[in-house]
Amino acid sequence: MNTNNNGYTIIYTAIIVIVVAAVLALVSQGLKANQEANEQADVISQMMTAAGYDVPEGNANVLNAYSERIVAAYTVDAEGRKIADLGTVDPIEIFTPSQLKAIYKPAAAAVRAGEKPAPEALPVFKFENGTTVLPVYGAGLWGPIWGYISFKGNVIQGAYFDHESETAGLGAQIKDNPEFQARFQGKIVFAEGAEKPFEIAKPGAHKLAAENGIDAIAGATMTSAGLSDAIVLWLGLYENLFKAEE
Amino acid sequence: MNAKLKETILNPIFKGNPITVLVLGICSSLAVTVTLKGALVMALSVIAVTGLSSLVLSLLRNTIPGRVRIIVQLVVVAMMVILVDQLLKSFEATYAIDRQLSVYIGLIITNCIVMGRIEAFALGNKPVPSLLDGLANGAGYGLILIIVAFFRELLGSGTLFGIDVLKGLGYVTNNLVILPPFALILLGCIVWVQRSIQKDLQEK
Repeated sequence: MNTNNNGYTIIYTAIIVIVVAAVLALVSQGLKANQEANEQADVISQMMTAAGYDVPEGNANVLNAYSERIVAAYTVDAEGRKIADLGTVDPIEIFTPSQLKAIYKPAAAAVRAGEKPAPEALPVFKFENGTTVLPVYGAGLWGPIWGYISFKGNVIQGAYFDHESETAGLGAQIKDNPEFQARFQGKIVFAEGAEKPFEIAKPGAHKLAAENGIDAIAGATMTSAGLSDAIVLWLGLYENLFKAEE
Repeated sequence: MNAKLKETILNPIFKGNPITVLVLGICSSLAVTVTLKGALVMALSVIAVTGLSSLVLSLLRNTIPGRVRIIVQLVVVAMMVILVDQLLKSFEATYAIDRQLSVYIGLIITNCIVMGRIEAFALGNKPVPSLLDGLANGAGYGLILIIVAFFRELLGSGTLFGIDVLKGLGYVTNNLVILPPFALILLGCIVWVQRSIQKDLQEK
């Protein structure tokens, strides 16, 4: 058989590609439920870490801990009014990073165009220790960064951040360095008269008072700036919720 | 087992180790050796990818059109890599490690060992020896990965598999060991040890 003529080559590659695509599509569909359960447990444990809990290992334990500690989970509109319940135990709908991205993209585009973003539904999670956990999502140096910040009123109680592909040892510190995440504790957002709700800046370049911002990570300027922008953007989206709670 | 098959399996582990002798797959061995757990999962993933891709391409070897040979190889290897990544993501035990290894699982496709063994061995040999050759080369890579990770986790974090070993004894962790350059230094030491045992590798 002549394996070098054009017809054979084209048909052969077409068949290979179709077979590979079919296998991958089947596997991806078959494993989807498991992967989503893992992602949900991961998001919940990140949220609970931000709220100040020690999260157990294992998906079932994480869900148990969540159902014991969650008080209310719901969505609000841009005015801070409650829209719909997310369910507290089962079934739970958790805002995963991809859902946060769907809120982030139009909001960021609106901000760039100088308009006021008008998000449809924003998630709010309230835990039994009195904290309210809100998400953030934005752009780091190499890829998306996201996280969860817990508040009592307008005082930050804790924070947990994650990223897709920030530089290990530098930008990745937003996730790996507990000292960085601890810097957020006790900081006050939306301070009276401040020009923006929060900031992450290098020492000496702070525009706000010390209790309204934290120091950036040395060597990770872009990641720090991206995280700062993300927090400011999301706090802006939730501004009316903070006002409503005062 | 005949002598040739035995050679196929044992050669890549020591005498013709893909990392220390052929110097392939260096980049990922620097990136994923901070913890033993990560290195172990990476090693198993690479073993699965090299073994299965060599097997499949050896089965197809007489039908592959010569002019699109590399493209066909890439498609098959990419499929294996995506399968491994999807599987790691779907198990509770490996999900966190998959997140930690992030892009490096996907980058197995660019690991020179995989394509190297397919070109050099699988396309010219029967399926069973090709499978063994792929598995053995993956294992040779994995072995070095685990040796490097053992020292980096022990000296860098004072732990092994996340369990405290040295910290309790008052050991101050060494940040240099955590950074990628130290993997290269360790790798150099391993090459040095191997070449002083195996004199025929020394250049005159």
